[in-house]
Amino acid sequence: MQEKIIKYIEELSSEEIDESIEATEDLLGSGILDSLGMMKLIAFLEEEFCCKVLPEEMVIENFMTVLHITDYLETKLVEKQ
Amino acid sequence: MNNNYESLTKGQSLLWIGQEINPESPVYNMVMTYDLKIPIDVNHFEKAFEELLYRYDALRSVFVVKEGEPFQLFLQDHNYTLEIVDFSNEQDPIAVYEVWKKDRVAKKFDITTCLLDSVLIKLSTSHYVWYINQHHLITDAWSNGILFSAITNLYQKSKNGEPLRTLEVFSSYKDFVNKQKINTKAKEYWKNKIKNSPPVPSLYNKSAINLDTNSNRLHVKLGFERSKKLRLLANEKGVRVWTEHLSLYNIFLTTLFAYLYRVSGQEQLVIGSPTHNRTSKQTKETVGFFVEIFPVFATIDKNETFLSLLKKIQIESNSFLKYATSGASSSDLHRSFNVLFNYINADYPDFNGTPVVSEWMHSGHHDPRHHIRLHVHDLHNTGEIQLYFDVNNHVFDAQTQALIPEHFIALLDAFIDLKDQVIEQPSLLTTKEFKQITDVLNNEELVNTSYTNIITRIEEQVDKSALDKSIVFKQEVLLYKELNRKVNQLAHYLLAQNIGIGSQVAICLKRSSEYIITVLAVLKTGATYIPIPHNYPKDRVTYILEDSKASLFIGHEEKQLIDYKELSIRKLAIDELLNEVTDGYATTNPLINIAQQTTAFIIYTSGSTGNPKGVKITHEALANYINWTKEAYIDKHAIEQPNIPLFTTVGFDITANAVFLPLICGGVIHVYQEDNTEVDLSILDVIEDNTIDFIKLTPAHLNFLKGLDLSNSNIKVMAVTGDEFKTELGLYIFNAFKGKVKLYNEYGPSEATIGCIYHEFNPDKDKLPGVPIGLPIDNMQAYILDKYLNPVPQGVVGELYLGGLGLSSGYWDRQDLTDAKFIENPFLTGSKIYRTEDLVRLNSQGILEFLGRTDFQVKINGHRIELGEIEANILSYKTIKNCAVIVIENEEGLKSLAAYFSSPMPVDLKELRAFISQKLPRYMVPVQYKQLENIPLSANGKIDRKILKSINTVLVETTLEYVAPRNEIEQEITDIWCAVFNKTKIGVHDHFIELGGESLMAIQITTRINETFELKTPLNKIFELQTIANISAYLEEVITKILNE
Repeated sequence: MQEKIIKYIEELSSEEIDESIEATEDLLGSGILDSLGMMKLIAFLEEEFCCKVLPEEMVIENFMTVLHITDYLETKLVEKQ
Repeated sequence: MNNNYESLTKGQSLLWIGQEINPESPVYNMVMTYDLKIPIDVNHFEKAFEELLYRYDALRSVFVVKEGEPFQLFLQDHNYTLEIVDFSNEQDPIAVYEVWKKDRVAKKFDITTCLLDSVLIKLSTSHYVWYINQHHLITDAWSNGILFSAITNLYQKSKNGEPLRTLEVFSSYKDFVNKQKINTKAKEYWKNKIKNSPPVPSLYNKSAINLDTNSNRLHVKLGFERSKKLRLLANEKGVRVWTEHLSLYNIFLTTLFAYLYRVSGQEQLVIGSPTHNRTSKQTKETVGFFVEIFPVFATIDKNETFLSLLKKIQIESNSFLKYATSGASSSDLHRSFNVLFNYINADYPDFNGTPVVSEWMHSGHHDPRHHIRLHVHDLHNTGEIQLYFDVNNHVFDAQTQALIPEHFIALLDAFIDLKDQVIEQPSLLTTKEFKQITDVLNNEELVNTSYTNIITRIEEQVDKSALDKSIVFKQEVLLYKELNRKVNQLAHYLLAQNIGIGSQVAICLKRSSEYIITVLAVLKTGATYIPIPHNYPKDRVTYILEDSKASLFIGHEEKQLIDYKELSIRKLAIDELLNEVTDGYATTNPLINIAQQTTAFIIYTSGSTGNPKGVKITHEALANYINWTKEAYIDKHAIEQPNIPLFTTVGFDITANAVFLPLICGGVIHVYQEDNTEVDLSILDVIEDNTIDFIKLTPAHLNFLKGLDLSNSNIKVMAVTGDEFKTELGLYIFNAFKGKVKLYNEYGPSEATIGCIYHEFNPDKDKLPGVPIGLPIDNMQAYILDKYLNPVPQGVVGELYLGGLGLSSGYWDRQDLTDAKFIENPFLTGSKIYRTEDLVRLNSQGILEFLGRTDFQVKINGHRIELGEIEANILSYKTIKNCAVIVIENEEGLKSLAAYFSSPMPVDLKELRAFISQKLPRYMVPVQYKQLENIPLSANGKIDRKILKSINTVLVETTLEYVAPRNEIEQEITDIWCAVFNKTKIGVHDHFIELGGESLMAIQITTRINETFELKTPLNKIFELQTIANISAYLEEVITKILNE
């Protein structure tokens, strides 16, 4: 999951990335993503992991880093089952 | 190389079409200037520029049409070179440059050969400007950023002697075009989203008839303090979203929605917003046109606050970002908005260490579909946010243009100040603008205010016109002297009966000399009169008598008064009294001192609580109005001793005009008494007699005049009042008079004494469906306010409030209602304004236009009806639990009342109708009925009148059984009626009025009958004969007569 997400973020990002994005890197704060990129990432996650990110879940607490995202998604996928 | 022909991206085709539509306009010029305050080596700059063209293929693209379809070609060799202009030897290089620039920005591109215009301008040895204009088809703001850093870098390299051409491969726009994949999911999302798109709003009531690209840019700097506050707000919990920029984007967008709502009144709104569309590393490095515009939707709910609207926008803007994908835009999406919001999140770096001032220049044109484009930016990262308002010159005049930023910023400040406040609460107007509007509407300079009560005025006239005619009624003529004698004798009689100041006298008389004498006599005693139409149902008369606590009830004869014998009120049969008793009383003027605030009359109007309410009119208000009518309608038109008809119901306040106005001018009252028929057709007699000079009447009366030859009429002035005056009707009547008449539209609720706003109909200028109502009369003031009593800007719809000398002193014995409707004037301490609940706007000519009612009070055929009053009466019927009355319109726009109700038991509709008929005047009795399980309610718990309109009702035709046509003539007439009433079944005994018939229908029916039978049946026959059976019998008689001749 983490790899897939990182790979997609790298496609979206305009920053020169020498090494792979760390799972703990602040995606918006570091400028890796802008808000357009973030929403595209959410669209990707919904498609890829067959889930629906609710408007109230679109908060920095769930999407700050790749780690936050995977945590959020895991809870989300557990809820679904 | 044929394979060089590339299709256009979706975004490009939309632009390409836009350019095709406006072939001569530089509508898509994107002009950037960069001030470089250093010495520039022109040679190196040229080389750097040349390299730009090599690197970025979009700069080398041209657009051609092949077989009707546009294509772009990426030229290998584009021999375009940078132009060098030297103004440094001019006396004032900057001034020369400014002139040059202004001209140059509008340079039109031939898109088949070159879409680029770039110049290096020398202003001095250490001040250059790089000017670059590109057609939008090949660039966008992001691209300009890339180009600027590239030229900075290349120039430095060239100066350093480094090679400019490297092996590095640059992202090409052509690749992007080839690889563009359209996201079908996004496309589907937008398609669904615009399914229920509202119409584009009309801002300040302005709309563009001809599309024009001409536009003006208004530049507003928000200031550091305000910008700082905005950033603080953007970072507050609940406001802050993904990034500060997005939070600011949401704040500005929310404010823009609130602004559009405030200047259009439209609750459902759409704003277009561009997205940079660069979502991959590769596209972020590509020069070319990527931007696409998508719509953002918002619905303003009741009591919407800035914060609650922001919450909606936060969700909306996230969805926007999610689905705004390359290639998903369409012309349908573009058509859904006329306002564009562009938040520019870009800043231009320095030029190799030298700070650069860059400017995005306005070409003087923009997409004609956009009435307003708001650009928000801080291009130089100064910390001060700036706004560009690009406004369409064709839509907004200079005066309105200047107000747009002011109104927007008023809301922005309110948002910063208190985000929890309702978006309708803050005032939009600046003090200056408020003053301008008040100057037009509120002529506070009082004129002719020296108060003389109407009785004194009449007595003065009696001295002047003693031997002139004052009243003509059939054969009866009363001279001024005689009239005054009779009035005085009755007044002395009444005084002797203890009637005087503080007494209230109900007068239920037909239009007659007796009516006029009684009204004047009551006023002479200092008492208040209450006119009650002679044909009112007993219940309503009883209600008025009891509610008003009248001390005397005056009727014609004992026979009439006996109906009310159970009421303890004193009763007087005036006909007998005047002939026998009063002759013995003094003939001198009683000389009672009548103060300004003494109530002259109380007029009962329909009330929403189920019962009519009495409006108190003071002597001061009455005198103010009558004095004004003398000037405006009589003196102004050089009419002397005017002949004026008394022909309207005494329960209608306009009738007071016909009583008092002639008597202060030495004129004649021509009395037209009502007969006992359903419809009062006195107007036809008035016209036929052709003796009058001035008439005040309703549009419904005017409808009766259609088809009459008025070219020889003596009427010089007509004041139309009581209902919406349609321009079409005005024109018709004006033409029927061959233009030899002055038509006035007079507006005024009873609460502001008969009339208070007026407009002279101008057949050349009045082009809207409704004739404007104009401007206030002497000593009256008008205010157009919103819900929060803020004055609204010119052009914007608001509620009309009235103030001035003519204001009623309130409702009789209804302090609660008086306090609710007559409120403290927030603009003039110590005075009151009356809330009309009428919607108006101040149009671009600076006069008022009437736009309908805010509440459920309606007018049908000139009758003011509170639907609530009818509903209250229906609810008093046995088992009925809930009900709603609405106005329905047939295909020809004719209005009638429909009642919907719920009841646990089946209700006999005919019985219900008969029940209501006993309670209410005929014009208030609904003709259509429907029993429902439940009355449909809207989300906020109100009766959903829109749904009701879609439910078919049953026509209730009183207690008559259906009788089919019995002969050929009846069949023909039935067919005509069915066609006009749009019904499939009408019985031959059904009544015209009860079917909802009115004058226009009568005209249609008469015309068709006359065509069918080749006859000349007069219009009033329908009202007289009422049923198909009767008309048929009459026609048979006429036809037989003709055949026998």
